[in-house]
Parts: sequence; C-alpha cells; structure tokens
Amino acid sequence: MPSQASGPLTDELREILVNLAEGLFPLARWVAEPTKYVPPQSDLPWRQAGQQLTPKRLGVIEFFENLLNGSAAEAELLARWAQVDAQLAKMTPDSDLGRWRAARKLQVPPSFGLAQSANVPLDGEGKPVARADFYALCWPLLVTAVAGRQPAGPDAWEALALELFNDRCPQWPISAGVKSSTFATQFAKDLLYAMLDMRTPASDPWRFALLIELGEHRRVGNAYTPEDVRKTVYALRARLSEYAT
Amino acid sequence: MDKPDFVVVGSSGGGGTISWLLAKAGFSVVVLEQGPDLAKALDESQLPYDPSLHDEYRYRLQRPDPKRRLRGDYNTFRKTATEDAKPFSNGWTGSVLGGGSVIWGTWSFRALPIDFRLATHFRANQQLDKLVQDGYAVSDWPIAYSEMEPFYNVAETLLAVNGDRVAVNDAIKHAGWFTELSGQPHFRAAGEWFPRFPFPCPPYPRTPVGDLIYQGMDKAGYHPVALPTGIVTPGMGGYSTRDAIANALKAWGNGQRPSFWQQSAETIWSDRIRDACTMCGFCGEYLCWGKNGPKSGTRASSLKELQDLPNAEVRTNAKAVEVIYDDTLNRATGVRYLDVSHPGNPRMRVQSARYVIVSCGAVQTARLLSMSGGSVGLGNQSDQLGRYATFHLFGNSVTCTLAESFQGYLHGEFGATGNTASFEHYFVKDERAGSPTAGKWWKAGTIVSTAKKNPLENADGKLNPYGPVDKRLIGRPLLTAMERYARSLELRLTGDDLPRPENRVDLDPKYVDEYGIPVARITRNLGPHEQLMFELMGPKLLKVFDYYRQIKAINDADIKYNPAIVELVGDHQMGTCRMGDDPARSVVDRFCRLHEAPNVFVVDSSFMPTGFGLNPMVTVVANALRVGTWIVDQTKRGVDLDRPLEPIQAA
Repeated sequence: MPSQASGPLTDELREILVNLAEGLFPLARWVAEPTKYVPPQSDLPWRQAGQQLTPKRLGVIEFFENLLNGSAAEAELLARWAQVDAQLAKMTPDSDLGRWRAARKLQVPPSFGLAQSANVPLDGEGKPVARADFYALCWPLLVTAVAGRQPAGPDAWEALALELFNDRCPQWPISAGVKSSTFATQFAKDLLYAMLDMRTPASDPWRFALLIELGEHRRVGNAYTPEDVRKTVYALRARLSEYAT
Repeated sequence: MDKPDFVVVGSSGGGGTISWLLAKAGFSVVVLEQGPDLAKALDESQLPYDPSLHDEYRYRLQRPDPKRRLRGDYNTFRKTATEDAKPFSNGWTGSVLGGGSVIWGTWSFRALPIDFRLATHFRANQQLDKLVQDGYAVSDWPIAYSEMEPFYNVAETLLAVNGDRVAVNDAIKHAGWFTELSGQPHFRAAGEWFPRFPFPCPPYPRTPVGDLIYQGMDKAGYHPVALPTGIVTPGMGGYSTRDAIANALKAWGNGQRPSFWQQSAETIWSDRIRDACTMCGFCGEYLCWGKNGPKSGTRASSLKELQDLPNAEVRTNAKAVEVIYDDTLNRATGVRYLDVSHPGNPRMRVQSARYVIVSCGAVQTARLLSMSGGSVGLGNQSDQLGRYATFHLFGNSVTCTLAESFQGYLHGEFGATGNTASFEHYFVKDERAGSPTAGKWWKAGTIVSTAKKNPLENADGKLNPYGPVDKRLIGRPLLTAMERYARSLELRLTGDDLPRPENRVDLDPKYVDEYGIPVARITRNLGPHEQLMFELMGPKLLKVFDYYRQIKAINDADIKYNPAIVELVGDHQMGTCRMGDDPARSVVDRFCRLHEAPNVFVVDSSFMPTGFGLNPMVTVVANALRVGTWIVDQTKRGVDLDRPLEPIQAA
C-alpha cells in the first residue's frame, strides 16, 4: 500500500474523534448505571460532583495522535516486506536457490507469506498496513459520514458509533475502500490500548480510572507482600461465606 | 573464537543450561541466539526493578511480536497431510536471549516415573494395541526416571523451584489412579515415586484465585497442592543458587556423583543472590522486571554464570540456517548463520566447531535440521525427523465468572498465572457405560488454577473484527464484558497429546521467511485419545465448581467447558527428534546425539519420546545437565564422543 501523509489532526477531526470515542466508550453513562460496581475507594475524582469519567478526560486523543506520529516504523517494515516479496529469488541461503529447493522437493519459486500470518500490522481485512496510512484513508470517510449525520448529544454519538462498528451507517460512503467497521474496530483497539495499558498523559488516578472501575488491580509498578495476598484471600473467603449462609 | 569445542544454537532451558555446564567444565563454547537480549536494559539500570516491562500491549498484542519470533518469520499450519498449509502466527516458544525460559509460565513439574515407561504401561494393561490401531506410536524412553532424578534435583535448584514436596508426594499417593495402578509391578518399578529432595524454595503464597480452586478441588476430593513454580518465593531474603546446589550434591551422595559434580558448590556456582518475587503479576508472557532474577530462566541463572567465563561467548541476533555437515567425514563442522543485528541487511557467517548442539525448540530444531545435510535433511535417513510432534492439549479448560458481588475480589494480578494444582487426573478412567475401553485408565495430565491477568488482551479480543456481528462487542456491552473478566478465572488441563507419526514438522514446500529460508510446516491433529480426553475431562473439571454453583456464587450460565484448540501450539512443543536406541525409529540416541552424525546433539524438548502432561521445562533443563555431564565424563576418561555409547560413571 502506498504511503500517504496523514498530517496532524485538524481541530474539526479532533472534535469528531473525541465525540466518537465517547460513543464507543460511554464511560460516564456506564459509571452512572445503578447496578454498576462501585469501587471501594472513596476519593475517586470522577465520582465527585461536577466531574465525569470520559475518554477525553483520560487523554486518549493525545495518546492517539502520538501513536499516529510514531507509526513510521510500521511504514518502513511494510516497505521492507514489499521489497522482500518482489525480490524473493535473491534472498536465499544458497547461491543456487532453484537447485537447493528442487533437491528438497520444494516449490520454485517460493512465496513470502508473512502478511497472511498476522505477524504484521493488519487492517480489518487482513491487509498489511501502517497505522497512519490506514487512518489517512479513513478521515475523509468519517468526516463525510458525520457531516451527513449531524449527531448531537451523547445518545446520537453512541448510536453512530454502534452503526459504524457494525457497518450499518448509511452516511458512510458505500463505495469507500475501507468499511466503517474496520475503521471503528481499529480506533476502538487503539483507545483500549490507551486506557488499559496505562499509557495516557492523564495524571493519577485518572490514568488508571477504567481499570479501577473494572475492579482490576493491575498497575505498572505493582509490588506486594505475602501479607497483602493473605488479606485478599480472607476477604474472598468472607464474601463466599456470605453465600454459604 | 575461531573453532571452539562447541557451538550451541539456542539459549533456553536446553541450550543455555548445557552451554554453562560445558564452559564451566573447561570447554570453549559459542552460543548463537537468534533473538536479541530484550532484558539487557535491566543489567544496565541502576534500579532493582524496571517497570517499563509492565507493558501488556508490547508483550501480548504487538505485531510483529517482539519476543516470540524474529521479524519476518512465521510458521505454516495444516491439520492433515492432504491439506495445503497456511501461514499462521503460532508455533513459537521465544526468540530472545534465554528463549522460552524467559517468557514461560514457570510451572515446574518433574515428570513422573511412569512417563518414562508409558508403552510398557499401556501394553501391560492391554491398551497399546488400541493406541496403535488409532495411529499412535507411544514409546518408552530409553532412559529411566532413576537416571534423571539427580539431574532433576539440580535442575530445580537452577530454576529456584518453590513448592511443598511432601504435599506433592501425598497428592500423587492419594490420587485414584495411583491407588489402583500402583500395585502393578511395572508401575512400582518405574522409579522413585516419592522423591525426598525438598524444593529449594518454600511454596508460593496462595492467591485468591488459587484459594478458590484449592477449596473447590478439596471438596471434589482432588488433593490440591501449591503449584511448584520457578520463582524465588516472595518474602524470602534472597536465593542462593550455590547453597541450593550444595543441597542437591549432598542428596546425590559422594559415591554416586560423576566427575563434574564432585566439585564443591563453591566451585560450580558463584555467590550471586537472586531477589525474591514482588508478585507484580507481569509473568508468563512478560520478561520479569526484576534485575536479579526473581523469575527463573537461563537469562537469570546459567547465562549470567556463563558471562563470567573467558572461554564462552554469547552472540545474539544470530539466526542459524544450516548445520554444516561433511558427509565424507560423517561429521558436522559448524553452523552457518545470519547475523540479523540489522535485520534489513543480514550478513551470512560461519561458526566452525568440533561439536554442534542444537536447541531451538522442537519446531525450529526440526526446521534447522531439515535444512542441513543432504536433500532429506540431517538426521533424517530413517524418515523420523520432525515426526511425533506433540504440543499438549492447550485450551482444555473450564472458564467461569463469579457473581457480580465478587467484583474486585479475585486479584488476578498477583504473581504467576498458575497457583494451585492437582495430579488427580494424570490418568483418567473411562467410566462410560458400554464403552469398549470402560474401566481403563487413559492419559490426561495436571490441572492448574489460572488467573485472568490480561484485561487489554481480553477487551481487544471482544472487538473480534473477524467474528460474527452478534459476537462483536462495543459500547456498554463491551464495558460490561470487561467487568466480567475481572471476576473470571480458569481451571486448565495441561493434557498429554500422545505421539502420532503424522503429526510432524517439516519444511513448507511453498513459503519462505524474510531471508528466503523455508519456514517450518506444522501438521497436527487430535486423535481419538485426545477426543476421549475432552469427553472424560469435562465433568471432572466442572466438578471443582460444584460447591460454588450450589451456593450460587457462580451461576450455571456463567461456567463453560472448553475442549483443546488444535491450532493452539507453541508454548510446549515436544517430539520431532525422538530419542531412542533404534536408529530406524528415532533421531537421537540416549545421550541425544544424532544417530547419523554423532558430533551433533539435540537438547531441547525435541528429544522427548512422549510429552507427559505437564510443563517440560524442568525436564529439559535436567536432561541438558545429564547430556552435558555425559560429555564431560566421556572426555575426562579420554573417550571420543563420536564412539559408541558408554554410560556416565561415578568419579
């Protein structure tokens, strides 16, 4: 795939992505659900009056922009794979590729199958692609879809996100080379990467907010003693005993 | 070194361990590791721990995978020999310095005595014919457990294995299969069932997931024990490998020890102290973040010792492409390899040596030998190379989710993935009414509690881009599924898939890697014995959760039995260079030399005639110690290694 300059995100696009991120991950609405698990910590800022847990507050778009800017290495790799594919006959452990392979009853010429092995970055259709190039193809399609749809408010963005994710958005150009589900899935993957791998520029405890709300205790730099572990075992036993009685 | 005594290809449990032993014994050794030293930053850091390694994206999701395989490399896979194989991502152990021993799950079992006599056992119980009819080739090992036992002791010291030996022995003693089968003469005679050598570290703390499974197993009558793991136990002041080796030498007895092991522990090992584990939980697929090796692997032990020796050299980014074989001499003369320090600009190099040791993992070893020698490959005159590949029954498990009120209680992040184990189903009885094999005990394996430790990987999988629309999640349904993950756990069988000749690794006829080298083709399917295991083990695994279902801590809809996944191959890979006394039916002899090229050794898990039902790492390390000891012993006595076999002798 030819490399395309993606450039920095425009303000318009950034605003669309912020809203779309909140449609894909409606964190504030999820936290507000009455049956939602409430973490034991009492001082969580996003649960204080006037605050909300949102992807924007977690800094996911800043993370995403950095991810795009850092995808040059992916493009270099793809160029390398293209070169390998085109010059396979020259890349051989033996000076006479044909003789060496024929003696072993191997096909001449061979094929390079790396891209089919999912050992390179892939788009939703299994084609190797660099992140920046992939999104550069998607931006005009997304802008067109949003312009046609004019979503207003969280409900509308959540509905649009779901439709994009499931290829059911009538405003996504039918003739587009990239399906809306392919775009929405990759974008969701990259947001998860930000929120669950503790990579966002947000300060503590916002950086761990989603993990905290999930009841996940995994953190970079965790360290425990056997006594810490014993306490959690007793807590679990106590909870189980409530069921037993 | 221009022409060292040994060139060793691979640095994991087999290659890393034997390299150290041979160099310590005075041989010159060059180690070629195809991957980089990913943990190098730890050595250079001023910090005792490096949190940058706590990176789920990098170690679980990133492609190209930075730890499993080299950039531009892959395998192909097919289920039967009539299909064209397709490129796929699995089938790798590790491609970093230390290999799979750096990123393993640390589950540290030694094989049981009967594992070395499985064909004898099935024959004595009139089951072998049925297995042969079903296409299996179960074989006894040419060596017995007793020959391995002292090396198991030492292997456990190098791996700092924690656990409770008495409890493990009791668990085996009280298992139903042992009670019923141990009266048979061959069973008792297979070896010492209840070793007395204590694990060098006390048991790992029991985690909430481990405790929940422990209580469930106990109620089911499964005799649970703390899973032995290769980690310095949290709370220890530190771990002295030297002191532990001293205990192993004492247990061996003065009169029994071969010459290398007659040396004092002070001579054998340095005074390095390894740090205790902090239970950070980034184990398994991750590089341990501890500078002084809380998690065991050759990178933290043997290779560190090797660095001290002037007669040894480790080269990373050195991808072997051929064992150079001179058919006029009937000897290997060295190894041809690509220096891939700059992957886009590889340089072909040759390392000559008197002896070659191959230890690349069962898949890549078969690939390397197939590319060596004549047109059929090196070690393949009898068409045995690559056959009998086994990978264990991975994925065979029960997954369950606790009720919502348990959110936040499981703490899957603590320590290693596994915590509580049971030997109750090492053999499992066919109790199906009317079954032609009713009443017979078949081979299963060990079951282990496993924590759910990777929330990002789980959530990423739920997006499921290639799956059916109704299985793909986004929005609040995805967040709810992510919540469920935090209160989920698994009970997993490491099941023995019995060896079959058509399960094989050879060269793919079509596909090549980045450098034009044929990739490994894996042909693997599950036979009737494995299908039987799935049928028999489902109810056994589910039974552990009966109590929790009864008290409604788990709802019936939230528990699921999964059979093994045939494509899930890689972490444990065995066979492909079967060890045996008969060159017509095996690739290497009892000291792991190629029958047809006696200055070439294979010391990874390729040599294993059967795969047990447990993690092979301890056995691989023990066997590397055994083979290395034999080499030292032979040369001390002035015996040429190329000559016919002579046993190891006490000094």
